[in-house]
Amino acid sequence: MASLSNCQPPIGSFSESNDGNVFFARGDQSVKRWDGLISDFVNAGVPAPSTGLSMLEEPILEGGTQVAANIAGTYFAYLRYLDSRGKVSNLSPVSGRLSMAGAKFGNVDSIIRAYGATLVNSYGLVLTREPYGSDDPQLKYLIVTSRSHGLETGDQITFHGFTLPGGGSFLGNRQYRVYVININQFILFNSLHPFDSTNNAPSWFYPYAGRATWSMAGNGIKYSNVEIPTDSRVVRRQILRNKDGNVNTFYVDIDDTDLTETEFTTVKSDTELGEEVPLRAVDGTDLNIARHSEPPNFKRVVVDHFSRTFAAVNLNYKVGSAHVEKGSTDVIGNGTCWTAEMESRLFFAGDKKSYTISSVDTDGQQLVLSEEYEGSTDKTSEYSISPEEDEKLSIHFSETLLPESWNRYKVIRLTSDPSSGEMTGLMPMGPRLFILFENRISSLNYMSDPSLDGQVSFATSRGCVNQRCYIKDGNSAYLMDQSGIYAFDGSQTVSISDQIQSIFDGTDKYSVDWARSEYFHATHQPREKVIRWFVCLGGSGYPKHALAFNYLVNRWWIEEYAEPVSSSVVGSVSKKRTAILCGSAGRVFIPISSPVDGMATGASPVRGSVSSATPVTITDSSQTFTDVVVGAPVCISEGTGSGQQRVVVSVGEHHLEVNRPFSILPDSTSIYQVGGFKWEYSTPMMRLASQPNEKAIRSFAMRFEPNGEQSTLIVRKYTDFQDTPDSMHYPRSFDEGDGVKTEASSPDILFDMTHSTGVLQQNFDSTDTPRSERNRSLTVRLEGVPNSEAHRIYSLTIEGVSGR
Amino acid sequence: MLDSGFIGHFPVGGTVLLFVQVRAQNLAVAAATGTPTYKVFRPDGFQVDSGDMSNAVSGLTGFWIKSLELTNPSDYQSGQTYTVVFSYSQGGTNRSSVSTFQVV
Amino acid sequence: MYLGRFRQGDWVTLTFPKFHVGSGAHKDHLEDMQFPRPDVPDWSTVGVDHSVYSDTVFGTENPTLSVVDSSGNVVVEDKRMHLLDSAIDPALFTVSLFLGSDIPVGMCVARTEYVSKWERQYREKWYSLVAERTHSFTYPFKVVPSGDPRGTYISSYFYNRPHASFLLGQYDSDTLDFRKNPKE
Repeated sequence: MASLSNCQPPIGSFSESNDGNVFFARGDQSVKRWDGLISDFVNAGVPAPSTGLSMLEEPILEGGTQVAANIAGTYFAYLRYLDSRGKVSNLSPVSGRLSMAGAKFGNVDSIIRAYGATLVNSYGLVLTREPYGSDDPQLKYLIVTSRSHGLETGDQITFHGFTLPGGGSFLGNRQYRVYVININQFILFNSLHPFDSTNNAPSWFYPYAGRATWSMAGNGIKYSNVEIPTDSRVVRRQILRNKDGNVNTFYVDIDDTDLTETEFTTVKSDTELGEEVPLRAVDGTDLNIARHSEPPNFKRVVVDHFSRTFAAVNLNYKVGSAHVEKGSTDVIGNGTCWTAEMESRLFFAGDKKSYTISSVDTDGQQLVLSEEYEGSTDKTSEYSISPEEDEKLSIHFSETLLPESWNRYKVIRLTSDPSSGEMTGLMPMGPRLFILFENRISSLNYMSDPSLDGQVSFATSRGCVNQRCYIKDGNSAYLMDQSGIYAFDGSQTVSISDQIQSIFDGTDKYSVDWARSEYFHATHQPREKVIRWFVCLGGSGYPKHALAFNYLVNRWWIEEYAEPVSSSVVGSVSKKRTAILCGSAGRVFIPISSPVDGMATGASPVRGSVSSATPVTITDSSQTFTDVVVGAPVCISEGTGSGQQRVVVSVGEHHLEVNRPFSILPDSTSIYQVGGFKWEYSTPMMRLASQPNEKAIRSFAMRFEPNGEQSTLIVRKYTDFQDTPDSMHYPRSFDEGDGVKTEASSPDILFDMTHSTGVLQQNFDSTDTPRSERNRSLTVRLEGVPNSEAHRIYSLTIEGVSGR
Repeated sequence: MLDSGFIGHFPVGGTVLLFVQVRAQNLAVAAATGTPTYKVFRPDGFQVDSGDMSNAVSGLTGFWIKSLELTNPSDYQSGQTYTVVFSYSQGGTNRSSVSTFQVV
Repeated sequence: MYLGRFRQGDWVTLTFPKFHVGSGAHKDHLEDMQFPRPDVPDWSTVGVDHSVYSDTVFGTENPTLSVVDSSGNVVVEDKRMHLLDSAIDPALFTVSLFLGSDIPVGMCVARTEYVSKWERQYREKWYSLVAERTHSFTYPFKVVPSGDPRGTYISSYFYNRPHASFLLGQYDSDTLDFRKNPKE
């Protein structure tokens, strides 16, 4: 993809609904949907028409002949859209009212002749040419009497019941045009032309009226201004019309899949209308008017809870800077990624007021405000784009079992509490939905409709950093806020991070970088009984450290990763439920599936001696490297530069290239390990037990599982509060040291992990002189990079100290 | 700071992208008179390479590049840092700037 | 200034200082360049004719960034930079560049460009002189192999369907994708 991404996108959240769709929300674009079958994510919901249609009563012609219709009553109409799955949108604005008379009928009471211009003119009929002669057909008219006929001049009627079919010289059972004289009488014309010289009356001859009747076909309805959808989700349009006398239920009159026309006609009577579409239930509940709105596009957290989807946490967009000009409505963005969905949101900059965004030019990254900017011109103003003020503490929710239908009028609005901090997420747990803030958790309880029977109550004064920093386990959860990590059962909280509290307090050399907290996340590894919170400790952009907690034995440790672990989930892989860690370069890892790090399962780690090195390469002339090691971490596990860890970015036949230069160049004493996990352990500081003038017996012993393949670990001894470890005095090989190797002037004590006894020991006896300065305390630190087998250490024993 | 400075690590046999921004006396960008040249020096000051910059990048005033291939292992040795001196004429004045790179 | 080694899929951020282009009679000479200051004119120098010189320290537009690859192709053109934080002194412009598929493995050079303009006031009457100067800084960097132009996962979800399971991911390259039936 192109490098023209201007800025990192907001972190979104996923939620799965009861209909099997997964939804993705991030607050600056429409909520997306995917079902695992279509080719890509699409916008969720169905957009509604924005304009109402028009209705007009009109004769509907086919082949020049009016189609009989009998639509009589008062009517309204709506337009709605449907997608390919048959999901419907909200209704358009309602049309204007249309009153129609429908078809008309009457009896022929009598027929008489009228003759002569004077008489005809007295009826108001205009002759458009001079009478030709006394026998001029223009002067001969038949006048029909039909009491309260209800016709209008120009109406077309059809006679029934005459003995003759009519035509030529005779009046008969056919269609004529009327000219109304009064409410009971009208004159007949053959022609359908307007009243001009081509008109002529039927012949002078007329049959016996008898039981003759007349009828006039009713008009149809012409729908116009029918909006053409522009959204690709819409594949169908329906025009809905009510039946006379009932405006609560509408019916499908037009069902269109062509989507190109803006006008339609109908002659369907009320009894011929299609599918019923009730607007409201008996209790007034909206069934189709406004309950099918699209999911809110300004919320970045979505969760599913008991057949509804909930959306919360506004996106306040602040990326980049804005160029604002006093007196102008135009705003230019720099380093921004403004989206079309930001239209109608509020723009805040240096001025004291907010402005509504009228339009967004996404290509040019420009906004148009609803009014001129009143603040000072600033080419690099800090700014914020936010939803409406009353949405700040709002929670929206979908209709039951309809995750793509959101009633825009049904919203939960919380009361502001300044001490709670910003809203950060939602956590469904049991029957309740918990609303997470930075420093608070509130509980939402409801029976059927949260906007009607929902109650929000205070749950605890702890909070949660973001939507991804909690782990649920049955009816309890583990959450992280800025005070630490705690367990929460819905009412009580128990702090569990006391062992590592200094990391949260900022008093440890490792401190959480809260400026990056939006990237923190947590995951549960069920097989290990471990929960990990991935955080940034000191300077990294994405989390590279995990605060790991084994809840079975209540132990904490910190893990450092060679590459960022920026996201995580729990899923089923090869039929095993496991955490899945996701990081940079699209890489995905499963923790503890193998002792080998960063390589495909089954790949062999590579360990060897460095022949030579450059700042960015390691050469081992005895090794042939393959691409399988690309992307894996490589550690210098022993010798010069030990402890350094890099990532392999490319290989040559005998060399590896790494991502960052080595700060201490490895040399021929260095041992490298590709794919090894680097681990460290430190004992607490222990007091040295001693008796003056007596030799203090001190040693460090380790019991472990011997490895089959070459592997070592490093032990270092620190006395008192020294930052640098004590150096050894004498060199000693592994054979001489019974599996322990030392070098003169080096602090590294190497333990051979292949030693068959599984027990290794290093002594450091000393004698204390009375009343002289001496060492008081001791810390032992271990560091290792396993080969293909894990380092399993069963016990550490330190002789000659006190304390745990 | 206005010189190119250190430009990276390159293996023997690799290719270095040399670049120079031509500047006027007031250090604003400017077009060169003629084609800028380069010279590459070993740490001991011995010149190992020289030539003309290949092309001016279209749309970027006074910005020239040249791909230098480190093909000769006797000239370019792993672990050594090399200095490149660029020279050009601008506004009647001859000017220079400096880059360095390390062979790994 | 060498930026370092990166991979495709990484974000590279660089900064560029907002310069106050000298003052008084020396305003044309960047060798007299002072440390960058926030956006205020320099009223300190008064000439013998009592004219007061000042600069538009901001320049005509925000600085822009272009990136040239080892073949001389301009792979990123005139990307606008923005102010990092108006409270920082000296002010720094910044830009974040995503190394997608159109930035090849190998060496690249990022080049920022900034136009400065200055105006002269004479006895409180402003008139603008046409002196506009384009300044530039270069930042070489290397794109090493093993990256992925999709970038880094920032959100993920495990999605089970009757026919398959999927690992869904949102990347910091502003893409969504899904990977089917993940296996060890």
